[in-house]
Amino acid sequence: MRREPGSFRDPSGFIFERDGQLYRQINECYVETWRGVVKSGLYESLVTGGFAVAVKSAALSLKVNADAAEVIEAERLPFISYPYEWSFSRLRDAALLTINIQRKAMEFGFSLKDATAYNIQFKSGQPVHIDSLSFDRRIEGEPWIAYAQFCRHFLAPLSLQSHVSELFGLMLQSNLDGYPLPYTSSTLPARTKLNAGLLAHIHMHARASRGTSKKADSATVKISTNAMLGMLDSLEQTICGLKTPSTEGTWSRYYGQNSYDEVSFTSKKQIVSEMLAEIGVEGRSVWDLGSNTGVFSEIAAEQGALCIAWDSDPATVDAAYLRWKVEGKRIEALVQNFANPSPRIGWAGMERRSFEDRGPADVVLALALIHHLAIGNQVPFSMMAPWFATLGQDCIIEFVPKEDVQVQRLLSARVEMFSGYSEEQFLLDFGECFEVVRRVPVAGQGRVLYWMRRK
Amino acid sequence: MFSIISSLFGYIDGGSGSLIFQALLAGLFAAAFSFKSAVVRVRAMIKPKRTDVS
Repeated sequence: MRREPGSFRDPSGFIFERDGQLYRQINECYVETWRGVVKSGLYESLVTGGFAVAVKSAALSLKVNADAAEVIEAERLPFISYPYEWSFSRLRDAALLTINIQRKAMEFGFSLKDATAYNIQFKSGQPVHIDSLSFDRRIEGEPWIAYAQFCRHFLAPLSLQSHVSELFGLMLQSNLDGYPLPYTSSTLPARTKLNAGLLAHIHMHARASRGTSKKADSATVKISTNAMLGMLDSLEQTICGLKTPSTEGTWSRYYGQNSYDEVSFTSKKQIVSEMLAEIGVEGRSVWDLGSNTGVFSEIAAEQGALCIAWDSDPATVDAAYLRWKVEGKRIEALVQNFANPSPRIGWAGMERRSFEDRGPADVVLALALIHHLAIGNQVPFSMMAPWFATLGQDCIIEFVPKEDVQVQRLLSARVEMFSGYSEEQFLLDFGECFEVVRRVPVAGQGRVLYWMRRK
Repeated sequence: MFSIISSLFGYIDGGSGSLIFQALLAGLFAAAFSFKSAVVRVRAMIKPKRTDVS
């Protein structure tokens, strides 16, 4: 038995794993509410609508401790990602789902007691709520206890990304409870006070949140159902009104501006496709590192792989996310800085798993990536190889020679520092961890594709 | 704090200022919701008539 280290704050219960199966213990203090959620039809309605993960009853004997009153089997998702790895549109979809779940809960006489972005995951490209114990009975007139949390976790990062910088998505990593509203209010441009939604939910809300509990004691707080629904409408409109930070990232133009011509690019696609086919990726996981617009992730997905497309450019990731969402492709586009991958964070460094902890993948694609790590980030091949070896069994790695336009661009200001950047050195260092299965030059280029297998 | 908030969920800090803020704006949100609902109702009444005519 292993308790999920990120599931410990809610006294209602927690997630644990036994014999490879995921379960949720529901404690005595919450079981009546949970039975109400099920009996009312709320949970079934959420699952049917694709809003929440499916659960089913399990034997109480599976319980972890004496607090248990019920045990349910929880659905295991193929991959867990975190809000600081999501692009703008993905976080927006998670926010809109949370609003819709709150509306649905109210229909059945319940309310979300928390609205953290970590309660949302993605299944086949669609957002889905994973915390089955997030509901409490709603008493008429009761304000939404999760309203401030919703604003910190969703509206604040979305508005900061939209009006200030897309980097506020990545910076959620150091703000696990979202952005404090006074900070958000002071960081947003003054013109956002002309936006009624941002004025109310961020700027005025930030001022009000400085209020003391003494004032709260003397207040008779009531909010009608219509007011609550109006507030949810207002949050939804405000979020939908936020513009995507940028439509064109550094890498979204890459294939149009680099040294690839059509013949070379077709050759590269052909080689990668053949290598993937030979490895056999159907039903297996493929991580495409530095996925760019996702051309090679699509090739892997077409061969039946469960593909995660990672890129460091939030705008490029957002474009891929939106495109695959429309096309219904089962590829997850996520933001990741490979020179500083997501670490273990949260309480005792255990709550949120690192990038590496969520691997290994069966196959790793690193196409036109390692020269950026070697030159742009000064990571030696000797340190790169063991890292790649932890990520996957089979790696398809593109080596870009020094003479390439892209490398020359990177080297222009510091050519002296990288005398060791050569294919020979690459092979020597990667040879410590991998054996070369195949070496195929890309047509019309000095670039070479390597299929390497971990020793 | 608020007696209407179940003590079981005291671990979530709703923020007293945030809860009061909701109450302060409740009238505005309710009015907006009622207006929107009225517009939806009126539209629903008009649309079938147009369909009948055509």
